[in-house]
Amino acid sequence: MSEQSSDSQADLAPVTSSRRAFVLGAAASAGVAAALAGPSVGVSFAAPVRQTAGSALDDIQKRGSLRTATFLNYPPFGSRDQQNKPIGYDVDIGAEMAKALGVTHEIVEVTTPGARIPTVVTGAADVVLANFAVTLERAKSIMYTNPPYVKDGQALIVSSSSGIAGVNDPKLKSVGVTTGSTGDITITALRPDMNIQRFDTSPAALQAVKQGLVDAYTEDYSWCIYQAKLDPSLAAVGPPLSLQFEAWGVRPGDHDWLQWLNLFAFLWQASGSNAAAWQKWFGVEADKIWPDF
Amino acid sequence: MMLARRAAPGLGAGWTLFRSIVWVALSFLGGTALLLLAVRQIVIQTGIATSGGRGWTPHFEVVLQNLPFLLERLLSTLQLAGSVSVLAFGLGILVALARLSRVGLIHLVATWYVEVLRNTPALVQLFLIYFGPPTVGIRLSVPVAALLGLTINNSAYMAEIIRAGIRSISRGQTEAAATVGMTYPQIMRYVILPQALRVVYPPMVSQWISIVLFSSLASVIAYPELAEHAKRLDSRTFRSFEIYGAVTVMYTICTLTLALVLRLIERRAFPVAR
Amino acid sequence: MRFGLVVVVVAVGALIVGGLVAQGRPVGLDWGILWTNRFLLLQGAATTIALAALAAVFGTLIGLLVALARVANVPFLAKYAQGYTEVFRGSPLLLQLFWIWFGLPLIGVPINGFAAAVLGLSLNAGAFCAEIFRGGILAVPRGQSEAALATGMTYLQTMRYVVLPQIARSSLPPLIGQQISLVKDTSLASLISFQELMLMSQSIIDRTHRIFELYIGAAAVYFVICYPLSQVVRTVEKRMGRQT
Repeated sequence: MSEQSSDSQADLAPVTSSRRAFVLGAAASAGVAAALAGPSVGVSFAAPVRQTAGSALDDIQKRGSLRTATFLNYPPFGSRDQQNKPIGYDVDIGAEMAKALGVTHEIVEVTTPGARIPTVVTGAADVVLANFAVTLERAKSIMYTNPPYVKDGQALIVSSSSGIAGVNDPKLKSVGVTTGSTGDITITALRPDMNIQRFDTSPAALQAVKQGLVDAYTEDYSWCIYQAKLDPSLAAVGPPLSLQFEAWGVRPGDHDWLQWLNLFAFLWQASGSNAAAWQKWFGVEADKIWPDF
Repeated sequence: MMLARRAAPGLGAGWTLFRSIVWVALSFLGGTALLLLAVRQIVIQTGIATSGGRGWTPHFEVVLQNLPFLLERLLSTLQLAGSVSVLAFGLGILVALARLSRVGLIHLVATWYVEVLRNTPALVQLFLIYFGPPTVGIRLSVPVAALLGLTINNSAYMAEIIRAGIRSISRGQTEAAATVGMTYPQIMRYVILPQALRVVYPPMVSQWISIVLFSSLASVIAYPELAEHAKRLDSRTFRSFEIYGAVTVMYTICTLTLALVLRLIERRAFPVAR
Repeated sequence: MRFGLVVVVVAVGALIVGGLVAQGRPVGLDWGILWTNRFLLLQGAATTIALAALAAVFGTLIGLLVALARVANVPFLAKYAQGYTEVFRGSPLLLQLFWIWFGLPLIGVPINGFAAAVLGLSLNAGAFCAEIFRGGILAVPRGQSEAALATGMTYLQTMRYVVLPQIARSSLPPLIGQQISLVKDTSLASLISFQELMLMSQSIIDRTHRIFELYIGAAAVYFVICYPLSQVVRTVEKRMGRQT
């Protein structure tokens, strides 16, 4: 731009010394350019105008880390290895997100389903990345990303020797659920007469099934299949009792952060990375949400 | 309750007590409310407030709407605590007598029992009682596991209290009763235990209150009592501040009333000769 | 003491024998799992001790201040102190921790797991310590404090030079007893997702499915921390009994 204006100015101005004209022209055009471009000249675009004051997108950059609320007692979505380090499908996604943002990944561990929303609503974590099923009821308290990244459903996991074949099987006398989970909602709706035993955490409920303290535990079908594969004494009872999608959750009102995550969710799936990650952790192909990916 | 001691029995004492309780409650609740408001202002002004916290407004209607059911659950908490108290007391007497036994093996087993239960957390004991036995094929339901776990845990503490009470009765009485020809069980029943009961009553009251409070641990195995319902309500509505604050106050009122009633019973049952 | 030695020898023996014999066997009890995860368990134990120690220090300080406030003549302060004592002694520690961990962030206070655990435990312990100190203070004959005040000492000076030194010794056994309870109470911090011994054990259980062994192991660690303290209390009480 400055070159153009110096050319035009050199054309219009009386021909004195061409060098002096060039310097004058350059200075003038630089001034014009500066006046037109405003304060952003010479400054990086690190202060865009956000719709939300205090968006997590800015907090994350300032802090230098991405805080995800993740289960670490729910393999293979999230668990701990021999050295107590977090590993899992959701953990990997968090790491990828952090890499894309150029920050470190910090896991804010949640141990119960009910702790996910409060952790993000209060700002202790930036995003819920914890096998978070989408329900319209929850959507009143938290903003979900769209598209979802997992398609699943609730199912029963039982002890293989019990021979329980479905949710209406007369052998099914008691069902365990984790408080505040979609399993809780599903089984209460399907079998209001059932003796429902609530647990705080999913390992506790799974232990109860293994020990015979409850006949079944209602959890995500993919998780049930995974656990049954790990432990032959358990069996996953299909087909799923419900259809659910899982997405990530952010604080209500933080639309800038939500938009970034929406885009990440789309690219993460369209690139095939989601399918690869699922295959890595579950050992099976993921249930396709979209025809293409 | 210093004021209560000064006032004479009758309506006067009751009114003074009531008034002092109201003043204490108002001072504490009011003071804490002011303190929290101040803290909230400070964190908001300095900008370190949590993002969700800035837009918070109190919503106590969650508690008010669910109050009937919460009170129902308070009743089941008291039922659990009552059952545990009675059973633990009975078991405690047995263990205390075993501790005082001169038979080496009984004494050793009883000492192990008391020391292990008193020096490990009740939470671990509860988990062990619920999740442990199925390993050997015994499956306890949640109510039974909660009752058993809390009873066994508290029996150890009660055994120590009772043992201290029994030992505080002078040996001279035991020896005198023996010379008169009473057998050991008779001495225990007619001489020692009645007196020991009076001595152990005050620490027992503390233990009973403690049982009411520790019954909240049963919520971790989802026993349907007050703390468990508070957790469920919270997971549904996310009004943690209001719910847990209100339920804490409910427990406080409950235990204070209980303590008052039990001490009144003490004055009636064990009148002090002045 | 002899009883303690017997327990320790038997327990260690069982662990060693069990670990050597049952290592890796899928059925039956596998005590070797405790040895395999010893570093994690020790980490949990260290966190528990740190938590208990911090809460003990803060709790004792809070208790002292609250007791002083309670017996003072300032009307509002005394009532507030009484209310604080009644509420924190009269309600479950579980709910106090939940209120601090879930409730405070909702009104804007940023608090992490460790701070919430320390705060909750300290406030709870503070109430119990306040009762212990108050009992001790009230046991000192009133005449002494009245005389001190008459000679021109302030309330705080009276407390510092006349009353408190006298209760230091008699308060010690119940105070240590309170700290033993504190060590056990730290297990409740696992319910607010703080990684101390209980939660660490549960993480290991989630991975290895060895419930019985790990809970017994955790209980053993708590026992090893608490039992010596309870013996100290007994010794102190005996020695004090002998001197009076």
